[in-house]
Amino acid sequence: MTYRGLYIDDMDEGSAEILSGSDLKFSSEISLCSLPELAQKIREYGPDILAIDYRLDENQEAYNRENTYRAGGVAQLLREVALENPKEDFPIIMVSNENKISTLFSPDKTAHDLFDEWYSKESIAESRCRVQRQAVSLIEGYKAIADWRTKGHETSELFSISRDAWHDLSVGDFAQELEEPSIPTHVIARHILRKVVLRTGILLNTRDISARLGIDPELSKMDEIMDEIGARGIMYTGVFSSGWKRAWRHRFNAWAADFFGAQITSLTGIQRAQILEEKGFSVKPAISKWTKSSKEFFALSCASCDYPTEQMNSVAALDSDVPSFVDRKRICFHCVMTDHYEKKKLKISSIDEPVVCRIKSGSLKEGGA
Amino acid sequence: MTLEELKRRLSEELAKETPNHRLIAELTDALLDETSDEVRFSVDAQHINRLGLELVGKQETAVSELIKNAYDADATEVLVEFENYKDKGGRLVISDNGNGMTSDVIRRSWMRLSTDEKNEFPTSPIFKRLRAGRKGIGRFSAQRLGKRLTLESNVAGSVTGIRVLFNWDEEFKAGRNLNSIWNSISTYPKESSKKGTKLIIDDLRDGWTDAAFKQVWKSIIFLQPPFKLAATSPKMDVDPGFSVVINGKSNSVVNTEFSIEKSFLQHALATIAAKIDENGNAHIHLSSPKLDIDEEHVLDERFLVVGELSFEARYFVYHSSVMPGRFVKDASRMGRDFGGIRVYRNGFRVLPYGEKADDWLNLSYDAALRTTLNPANNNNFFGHVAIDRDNNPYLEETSSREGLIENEAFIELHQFTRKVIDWAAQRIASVRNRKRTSGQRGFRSDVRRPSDILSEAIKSLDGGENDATSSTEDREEIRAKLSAVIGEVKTYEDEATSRIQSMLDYEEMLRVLASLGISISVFSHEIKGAQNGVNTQIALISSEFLSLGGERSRLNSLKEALDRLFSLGGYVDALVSKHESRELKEVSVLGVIESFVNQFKAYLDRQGVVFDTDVTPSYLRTCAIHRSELDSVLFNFLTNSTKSLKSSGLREPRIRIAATKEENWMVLRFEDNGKGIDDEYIGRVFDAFFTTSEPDPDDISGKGTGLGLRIVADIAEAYGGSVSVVSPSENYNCCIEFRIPVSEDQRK
Repeated sequence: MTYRGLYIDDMDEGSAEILSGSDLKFSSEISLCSLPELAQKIREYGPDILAIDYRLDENQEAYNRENTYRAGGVAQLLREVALENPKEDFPIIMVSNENKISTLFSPDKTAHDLFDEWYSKESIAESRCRVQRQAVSLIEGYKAIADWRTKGHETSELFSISRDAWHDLSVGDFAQELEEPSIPTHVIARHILRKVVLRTGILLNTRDISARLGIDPELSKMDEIMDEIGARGIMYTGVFSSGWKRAWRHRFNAWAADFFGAQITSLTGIQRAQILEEKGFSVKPAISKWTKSSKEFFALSCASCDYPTEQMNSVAALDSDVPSFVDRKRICFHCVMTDHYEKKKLKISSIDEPVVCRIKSGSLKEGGA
Repeated sequence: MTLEELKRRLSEELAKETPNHRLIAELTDALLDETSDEVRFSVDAQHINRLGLELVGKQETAVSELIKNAYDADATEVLVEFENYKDKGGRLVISDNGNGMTSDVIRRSWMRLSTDEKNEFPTSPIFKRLRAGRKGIGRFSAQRLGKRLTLESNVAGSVTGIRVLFNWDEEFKAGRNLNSIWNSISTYPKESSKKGTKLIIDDLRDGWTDAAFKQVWKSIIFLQPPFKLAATSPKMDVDPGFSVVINGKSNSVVNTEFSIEKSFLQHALATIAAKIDENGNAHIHLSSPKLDIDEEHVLDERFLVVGELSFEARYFVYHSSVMPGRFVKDASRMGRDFGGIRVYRNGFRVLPYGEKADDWLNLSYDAALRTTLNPANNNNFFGHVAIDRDNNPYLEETSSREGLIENEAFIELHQFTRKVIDWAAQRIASVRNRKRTSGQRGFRSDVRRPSDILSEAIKSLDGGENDATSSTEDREEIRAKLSAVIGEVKTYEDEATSRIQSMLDYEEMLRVLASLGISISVFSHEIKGAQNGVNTQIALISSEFLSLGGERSRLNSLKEALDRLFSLGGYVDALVSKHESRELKEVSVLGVIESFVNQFKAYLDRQGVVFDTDVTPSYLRTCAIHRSELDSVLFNFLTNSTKSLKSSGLREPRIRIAATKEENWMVLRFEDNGKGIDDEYIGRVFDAFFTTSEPDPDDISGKGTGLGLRIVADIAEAYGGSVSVVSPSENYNCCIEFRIPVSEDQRK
């Protein structure tokens, strides 16, 4: 089946075409008009997914006083329509140039969390397959959520996990949020994306896995390891899994305890890499950016540089309003010392300010001195 | 109601199977008042309105008071959320994650007026914070803000929370007894770990405008001192502090927006620190790296009543001679808006001292009368006096929370602060050789006018003798002296002409740079804009091209060439955006060099240039600068080196960037093994428009403008540093050294 996507932009330079693949074709046939008229045309078109440029008033030739709205306004109208007509609830992704995305959406500064995902136009060109895969996953995810609601299935089914296992994950009020009858599909999708799929917590991404294995993600053959994990049934197969490759953390932990014969966190990076190599995997141990050693207890991926780091050689990032089952972001000491975290628009939690002062003044030195 | 009626109604109520206990209490009270031989005070319900509406004057003060209560309760986060606030009638929710209150505490303490609990327990239980509130009336700020209050409190370990409702305007009306008004209390289930207090204030009495929010932020930002205060308790260091978020905006963000430290404080000419010790002696420490002052002074007068306290202020002179010219206007505006000496008690702001319209130290008054001529108005200072309850028991806040009671201790506080300011401002004026007071005699400027020199020479020739008696020898002597004078005037004129010329050159350079900057900014923006379209089309063409049997290597070459263009466009765009921010900050040298190397590594690899870097110590930081300026320094050095390396035609071109700390300097050496700088040019390489390079359109560095090293020199000088050509290390032929001060924390 080929899904129908709609692309709205005042200056389409080929994005609709590049977003299209064998499973999804984007059309850019609707041109800009007044906001209510545009919303009506989109509804009439009935897309499976909408991709929309953030700025819709940059093309001087197409400029019209009535068209001085941005993507947020269009999305707002469509989301309101979806509240009344659940069948018209479809994914909306935003595409724009990198500057605007980093200014407005990382972190999200807009008043409404209207978009399922946002992509820079650079990333669409460079990672075409990934973006296409994720767009299709969003469409299928929305359909799966709508189906799940209609049939009144268990929440665990949405995540393709047994009821008992879901219960053991202790997600607290999260399940209740999803089961609330009055909330629309796009809100459920947003909860799942923001709290489960796009955050480290009950699921792990490839970088999280390399950090937990204490190996260098660039110098190690991660594909071999992900294949092994896939063969052991550790991978997440629930809603949105076709767009975002994730592993269940509880299954990964159980597998790792068995594979390494010990709690993984009690082994250094070198010890973990040795065991992996003995079992035929081609890996290099991670090297702590702070102590320059692999004899460290790597535990997580730095939110700034994405490289494995240690709990003790990292600080907490300002990361409020996350549920208890989501891991708070942490930043490695090296990124703190070099201010690299600022480029990712991260901030450090005030709790760790004293540590930051020590790093920046040099009283806490690299190499653990 | 008559006595008999009261007795009858009481008997009837007591006889009921389920009597109304509230009514019984009211009837008993009324009966007691009628029958007792003694009299007692009673409190009218509208007293609550007095405590709120009439004692807490401003709405932002009311918000501050409620935030103080959260601080006292060991909260680390306070969330303030307004809903429908533009007009009256909105809602305000203040929630914190403090200790919360049990039902018993609410009944015993929260519901009791003027409780002494904060005197009885002066520090908070967990972080040992010295409690900011003392009068026990801060909570009535909630009444000031809105007509109804819902108080929800959660204590850790309990599975139920407590909710109390107050309807200020409907219930607390004149004529009713305060203790006859009952507020409903209920419980609700909650997670055992959840703690904190939430105040839901409905039907707000005022509309909130952006200006009002700005006022709230100002009061919150300045609620705690701008400078670090000495810990007043040994356990203070474990306190993680507390953050305030208003409508989703945190104080850390707003602090950055207001940018007091970054846009303003760093331009101070001097720092004045003072204290009164346990014996009443007043010690002053005045320091100014710009004027090379680092002095201690003890005032003659002793201050025996007010107690130990400390004072810190930055002193500003808004003139281009003491701060970079481009900051004068902004700094002066910040001075007008935020200048003044504030007072902080137990770490919290005491209003109105240091507010815009406040002149508690009479600085504006004296400046207007021209009693002092050196700049010493409120806007010239940004500082505070730190007092606390233990050391300054006689400095009491008024019940309105807006001011200290003006007693003997306050008079001493005033005198001490003013004397410190006067001494420091006069000392600085003296070092700057400025006329300090209107009556200062014998003041002599360093700059001498030619006419003064001539007059002095003629006066010396006259010598009080009659011209008629002058001999030929005398005339010769006159001629010789006049010649000497003319020579001196000529020297002066030449120097002035040369200075004017160099200023004109500099002005021209700035004009060129300004127009160049605008063009570059537009160009880089357009390049960035074109990048998406080009990349998209390349990606689309690629699949077609490859399916038609095209060679991937050709596509890659095209992609590489475009990447180079976009990479440079992106770099310049980022540089321009960084420069748009006028924020000054202490910059990690390793961080800047790592980003720089990362940006240009691919380019240099293609040129076969071996790039070597070394930053020791790795934590090295500069003084507060514009990050883009350090980027510019490196970029200018790189363009010079690449030109030199290219013209040398070396097999193994090398560049080395090394940064080290020498005393209080960050020293950055940029070396290459190119052809080096000819001795004859060494003295001129930092002059504007001086260049020896030939244009090479294929080179990243482009045609030399002769401005690069001049800009580097200007950047160094702006921060009190320098740039020079120095001896290169082994295997290198050219080394330029750039030095600026290290960060404040890294100074010895």
